[in-house]
Amino acid sequence: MEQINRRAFIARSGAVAAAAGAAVLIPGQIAGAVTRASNGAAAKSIPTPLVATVGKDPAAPIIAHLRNAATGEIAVFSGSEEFILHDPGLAARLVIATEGR
Amino acid sequence: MSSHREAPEIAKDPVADSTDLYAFVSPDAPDTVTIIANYIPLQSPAAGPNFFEFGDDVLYEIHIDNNGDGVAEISYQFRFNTINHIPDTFLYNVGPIESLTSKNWNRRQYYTMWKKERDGAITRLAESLRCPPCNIGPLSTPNYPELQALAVHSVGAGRKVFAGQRADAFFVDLGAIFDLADLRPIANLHATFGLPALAASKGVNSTAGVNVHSIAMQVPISEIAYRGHAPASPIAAHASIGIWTTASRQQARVLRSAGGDGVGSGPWVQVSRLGNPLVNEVLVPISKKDYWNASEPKDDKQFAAGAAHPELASLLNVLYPGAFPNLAAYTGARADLEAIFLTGIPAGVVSPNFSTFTGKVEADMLRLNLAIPPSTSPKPTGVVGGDVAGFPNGRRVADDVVTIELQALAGATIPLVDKTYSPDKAIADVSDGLTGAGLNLWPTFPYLGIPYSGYAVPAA
Repeated sequence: MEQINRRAFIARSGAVAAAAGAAVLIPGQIAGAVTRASNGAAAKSIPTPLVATVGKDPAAPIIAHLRNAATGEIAVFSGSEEFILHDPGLAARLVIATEGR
Repeated sequence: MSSHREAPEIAKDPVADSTDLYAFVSPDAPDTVTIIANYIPLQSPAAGPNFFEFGDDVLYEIHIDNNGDGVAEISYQFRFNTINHIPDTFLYNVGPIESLTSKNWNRRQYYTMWKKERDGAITRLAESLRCPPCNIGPLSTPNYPELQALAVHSVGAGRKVFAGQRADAFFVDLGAIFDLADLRPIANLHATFGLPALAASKGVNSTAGVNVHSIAMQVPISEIAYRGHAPASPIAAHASIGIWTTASRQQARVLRSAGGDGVGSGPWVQVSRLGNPLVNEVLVPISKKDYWNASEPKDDKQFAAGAAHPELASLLNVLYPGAFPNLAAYTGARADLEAIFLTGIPAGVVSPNFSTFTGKVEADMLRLNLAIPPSTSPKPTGVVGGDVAGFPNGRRVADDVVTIELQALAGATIPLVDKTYSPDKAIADVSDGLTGAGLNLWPTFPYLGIPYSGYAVPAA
């Protein structure tokens, strides 16, 4: 099965790694479906277009949890924050990845 | 136990498991409050080769609510990091540890302390503070009193802080209480389910000779009091504050196939909480205990039925047939327990000048009246014994919270709210048979005793 590292994940999610600094730009078509929860707070909408800094440490982990493949709900954890994506296409690609196709 | 292994999931995560919380006006510095949050229960002193330590992946917090709404105005936060200074040896130390910078000491913990205020402002109070080593034995830690003293740090503005191993001061006959409450002093009265009768006997301290890890801090009263002013009298508005401790883990964690401790990411999720002793232990049903640990004090109304109609109180007259007839006949909500645990005791209930009341919000917090000075002759039974500087006005390290709470559950405190109620005669003997006599304590901050040495305990 193909190794999915952090960079590959970002690329597959439709996000683009910015060349300047360690910023990740999430395009408008999915950013509108992104909500954020931090420190246990209820998830809230994030204005679009979203520009989310990865943080001071570019090696800090980003962890994604496909919560519901059918609805495309994906929780993405970075630093001390949680972002919620609703992206059925990405969810489907992740499922395919786990099946080794 | 007070909160040792009190819920099914946190019992599997001892590094994040809060065991006891103490808060009292410091007897040798009465313009300050000492707060001690203990974690990592039931440490066998002989723990080599890997001795106990705080979790680098855990956020430990001590919270202060000074306006009675069950939400913290101030949270002190602690994060630890551990370094192997001699990575190529299997040993914790390669010779006697004479100081906190000893070249013989391999694996060491450091910590950072922050103060977070309700408006979100966070101030880093100190970083790279040193923990002491665990107490290993006469060759590894030959002068432990000196070592632990070096780990008491002054952190500006009149604060002291200590984080590291101490002797567990909690005492309880765990073996009896959770053997269907066959309290040894009155075991001869137990129904025993038709099994052979038990004889009355003295209690057995289940936590004798074990250690814990303590986060202790001493802060000026003015720092944690409502609007920064020490209250003028014990019945002044907001004279009492609420205190609790929590431990949190990050929501996601991925283990590396190469080993090590993995990586964490995401919001901090609370996995352990402790305010009053024994609340989650005894008043919350097993199916909700871990949920309680993840909840906040401001939402504790949802658990109030456990105090209003405690299961153990209803069982006492069944387990001890005929011994508690008045308690068995009392069907009203236990306003006495709701006050002790959830709102504080209003002025006039115990005496005109005593109160731990913080407001109507039902929240499990350890309440401390900042205007009541330390007792010159403390009694382990605290307020029940006439010593208003003790539990449930805060909690001192020697307070006999098990006996106090067993007797309260058995009806001793109902007359505070219902003058028509007479406690059952058996109540005087309701105890686990322990008094705390001979506790291993320390005369000054952090007050808990020198941890038991692995070489000396258990004795041969």
